[in-house]
Amino acid sequence: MTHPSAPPSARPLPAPPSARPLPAQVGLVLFWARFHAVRTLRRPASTLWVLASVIIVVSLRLFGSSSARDLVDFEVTLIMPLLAMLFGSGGLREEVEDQTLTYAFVRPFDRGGVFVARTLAACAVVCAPVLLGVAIAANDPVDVARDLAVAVLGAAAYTSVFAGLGLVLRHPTLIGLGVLAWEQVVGGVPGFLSRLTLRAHLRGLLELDSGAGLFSSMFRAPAWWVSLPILIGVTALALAGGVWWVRHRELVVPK
Amino acid sequence: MTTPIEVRGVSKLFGLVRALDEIDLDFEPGVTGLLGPNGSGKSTLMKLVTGQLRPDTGHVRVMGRDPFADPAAMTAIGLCPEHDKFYEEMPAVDFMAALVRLHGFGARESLDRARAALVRVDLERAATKPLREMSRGMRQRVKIAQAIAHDPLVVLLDEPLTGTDPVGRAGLIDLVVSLGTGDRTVVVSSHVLHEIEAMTPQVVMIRYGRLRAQGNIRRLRALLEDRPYRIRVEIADARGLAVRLLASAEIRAVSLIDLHTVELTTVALDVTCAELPRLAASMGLSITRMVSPDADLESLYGYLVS
Repeated sequence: MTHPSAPPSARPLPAPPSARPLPAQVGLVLFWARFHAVRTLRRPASTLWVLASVIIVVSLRLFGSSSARDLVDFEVTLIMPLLAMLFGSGGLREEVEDQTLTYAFVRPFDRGGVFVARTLAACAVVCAPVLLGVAIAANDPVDVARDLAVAVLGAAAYTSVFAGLGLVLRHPTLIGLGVLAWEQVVGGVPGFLSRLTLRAHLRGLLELDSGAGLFSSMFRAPAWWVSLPILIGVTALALAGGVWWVRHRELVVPK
Repeated sequence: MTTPIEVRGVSKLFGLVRALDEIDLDFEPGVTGLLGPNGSGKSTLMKLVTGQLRPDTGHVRVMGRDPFADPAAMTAIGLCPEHDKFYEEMPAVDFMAALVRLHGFGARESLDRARAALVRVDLERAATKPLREMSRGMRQRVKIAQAIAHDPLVVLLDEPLTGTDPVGRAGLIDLVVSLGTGDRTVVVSSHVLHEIEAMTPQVVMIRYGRLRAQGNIRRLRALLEDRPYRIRVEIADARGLAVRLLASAEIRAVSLIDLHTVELTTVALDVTCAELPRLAASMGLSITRMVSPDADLESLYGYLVS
């Protein structure tokens, strides 16, 4: 079907994103991540969660009897996974439900990049109060640097896992709560089983080994050279899985 | 030369429902109306062309690229989606500038393009207004503006006039027509036939996921030889004209509506339309009004789709 007066479509297409230099694509991911992180933090509900998590740590620091290490433990192994579930599992699923995903998907921006950007945004939102909390909780300036680095690594791992779950599950909150329960319950069990949780590896990196006496070997946290690759690996695997899923599956915006 | 939109043997199933069935289509530069009743497969076709869905059989190409697998195809695409959803808390211009940046433009140029597109849809004064505070018609304009801000070669507008007031609608119809000039391909889906008719004579009609017709409205109508046209003529001496018309080979029926109006049924619209003024002149009269209720898009739609 040709319009009689239609001229030929001779206008060349701009260079595709895949042909653009890598920094440009990374730049797009970072831009979209920042865009969504700011959007998330501007929502009253999100602000409330973030503030609440900071207020809890400040209150415990000022009025509680817990040690600095206990507070860091509390922040990294309980508050952080909870925030990661809240902000990470929303991600693209939320945009599907809100019918706004179409706007990003009809751009020359790799769908995988959209997923990574949303996960980065969630990670940034999780990091903001957690890093503040860790900084408030810690005593030793040498520990603070390590604790902050571990917190970032943990936030990346948890957020990626929950973002992946949010992508493939229609109702990720229930499974997310299950994951949190697994982390808290199994992570506290002595022996090898606890190493199947991110919590155990984070505690290992934070040197929060609580083992003592007769059962010290059972309570001993994994070594850093075990935990570090595992946390990085889980993050990479969850991100790669999410990228594959977004690229190959139809994410249909409902009518 | 690359066909802007090429759809070949495309079928799409949702469970047991066949939303599209072996569709073959080419969309060329200019405006094309996509017509069909609810559930006919219009939106599915739009989603396939914009890479939101992947065909079960066949293939879709936009400027020679697979829109589902190749993000570069999106460089050429601008979509005004059917749903009325946005990042509600954002001002229109910021929302649009963010989307334009995903095309790889810099911050300054994205903002300039967003502003220019808002001017084009007559929304420059509401550029900084949050989207949630905009009327349905204004939101519709923002959707169109974000579809054209990056100057795409292919523009797909899914029900673009929904919720607009009559004055705004006229402006948007003019905008769609202007978008179709040059080398841009514009596909407009709508239920409202007279709106499509005001935008373009080129249509694609689908029903039950199958292609029913494609091409120029008049040419399509002319192909329906078993469906004669009715023409209603107003003239001072309707009876005299009726007698003369009965002698014509193309005329199948003549009926007098009143003393000044005659309705005839012809199998050759063009021949009869040329003949009628001559007949009137031979009677020393002139035709005051002549209409064919069967020559418009609504009639064609009725025959082919309803």
